[in-house]
Amino acid sequence: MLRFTTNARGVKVIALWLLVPGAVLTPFLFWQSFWLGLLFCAVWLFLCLVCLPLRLSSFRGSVSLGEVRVSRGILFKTHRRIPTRFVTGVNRVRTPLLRAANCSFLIVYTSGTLLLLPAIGDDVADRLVHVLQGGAP
Amino acid sequence: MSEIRVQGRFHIVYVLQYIRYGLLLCLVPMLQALLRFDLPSLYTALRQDTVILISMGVFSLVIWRRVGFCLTDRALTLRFGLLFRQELTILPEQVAVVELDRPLFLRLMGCTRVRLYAASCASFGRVQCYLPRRHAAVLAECMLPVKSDSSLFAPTGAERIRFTMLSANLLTTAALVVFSARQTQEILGQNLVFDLGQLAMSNLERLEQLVELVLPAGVAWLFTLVFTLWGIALFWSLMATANFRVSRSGGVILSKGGRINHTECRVLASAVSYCDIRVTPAARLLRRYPVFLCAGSYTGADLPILVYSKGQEALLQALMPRFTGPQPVAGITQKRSWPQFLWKSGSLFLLCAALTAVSAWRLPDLTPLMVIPTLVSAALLAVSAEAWFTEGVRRNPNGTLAVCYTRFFTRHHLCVFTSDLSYTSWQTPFSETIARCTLWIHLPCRKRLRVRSIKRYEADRLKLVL
Repeated sequence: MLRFTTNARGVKVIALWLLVPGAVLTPFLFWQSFWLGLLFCAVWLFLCLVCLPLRLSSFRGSVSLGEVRVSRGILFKTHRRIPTRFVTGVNRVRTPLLRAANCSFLIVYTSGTLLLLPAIGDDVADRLVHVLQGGAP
Repeated sequence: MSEIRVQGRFHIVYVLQYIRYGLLLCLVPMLQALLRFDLPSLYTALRQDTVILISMGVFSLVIWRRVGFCLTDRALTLRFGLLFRQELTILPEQVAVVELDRPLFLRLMGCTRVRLYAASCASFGRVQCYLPRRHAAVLAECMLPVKSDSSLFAPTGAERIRFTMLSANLLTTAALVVFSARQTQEILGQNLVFDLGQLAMSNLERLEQLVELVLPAGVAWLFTLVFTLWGIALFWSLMATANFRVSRSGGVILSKGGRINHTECRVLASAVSYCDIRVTPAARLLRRYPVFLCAGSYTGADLPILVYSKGQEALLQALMPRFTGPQPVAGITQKRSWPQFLWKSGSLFLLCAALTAVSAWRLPDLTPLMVIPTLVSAALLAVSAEAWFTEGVRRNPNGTLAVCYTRFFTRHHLCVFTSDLSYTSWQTPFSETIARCTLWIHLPCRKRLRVRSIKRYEADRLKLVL
């Protein structure tokens, strides 16, 4: 059985990604009203720096018996199960920041849906890609 | 070396789709003429429209000369594009469904609309082209060959009336939904809420008079519209279901029929993802349930493939040997969440009931009209309550998956054949305390089935790998 979870440094990079759309939107809200902009900044920072790391820290995954199992969430829990034999492709994304954090962002394609595996450590990601491409765990 | 069966260009009807865009462009000069509202502007607009149509005609003819197809005994190759050339090669084993449509206007021109659906979403998905009738028949025969078409199901007599009624019901509902959505969009576009609010603030009495004046006529027109649409749908359904036959030859399920519009659908039996038995209100009355198929990226046509009644499993098993009839799948309903099933329909019912009570108090003339939505929402509430007892999922002994879920007035009984599935279960803090979850089943056609409030351990126990 191959178990995997998120990497703390990778989670920080993902949170940084989420800060970007907020930074783009903020000037427009400050343009409308100073207090509205301030409120938006507070809410967005709370989402990026508290909620997202908390949710990603609850991320647990495993590959065993021909299934990828992933669970996440603290209040609202989600569990996913995908058969490995119907995985049609794995996309591995490594930005400069993710490379610096020794992490990868994996997108697993099946014929009906796709599965996002954010901030996975490089050593685990290598093994995971190997397994999802038909190798032994 | 593969042998070429047929090759050539698409039918000339192909150019119509580009001329259609030209017709839309023609509206712009006509709109300008309408705003100026004089004869010189009209002449200018007509000249401009002529130029636009001729240009689009020439452009579409140039495109038509560049596109084409080549069918060999191994593959079908389609060529598209003018500057950016695209060549799509489709192998017979990639195809799940071939659909041949011949509406009246295409029949007059000797053309057939061919749609090919892929067995897996990972490949081309859906492709549509217009071919001469003979070429389309050869293409269908090469992709999914049918050796004999001895019919398994042919609606005749009362069976045919039931089949027609069910199809009409579905078509009318679809037409009404589209019509209502467009009307709503138009009304919202005119900022109606603001106007009505202003009118209400300025003169409440006038608004009341307006409602009294307009509403009866509006409701009457609504009913007229419903019955007209019903009649049209019934007629078209009768025409579509005339000579309807379903058969199975080798590994292909063939359904064809239609009096004015001829349709033929060939489905590869091994690619069928699920068959869906829909319990609609009309089906409950007639005790005959329409059956729809989904195969690969094909999610089913407007017409059901056949009509099922209790005890006729053999008919469906002749088409799909692994079919298992609808069975109770809900399991243990103890501690199942009532609010999860009833909050939408219950809220709607309470709202309608409150409006009826208010109308009985303030506007008694309107009360009979308000009773209609109240009864409809009460029926919806009853269907939701039924879903509390019936919704569920279970593995059948033969490895297929039995799923039962309810959407609006329709209960769906699915027999899922494919093992290309994935599951997502979702728990709220409330459902976690009673160890239940909502299960989403992802299918190859990118459709998701939602089964509410099932036992968490049952969701975990569902086998993915058989």
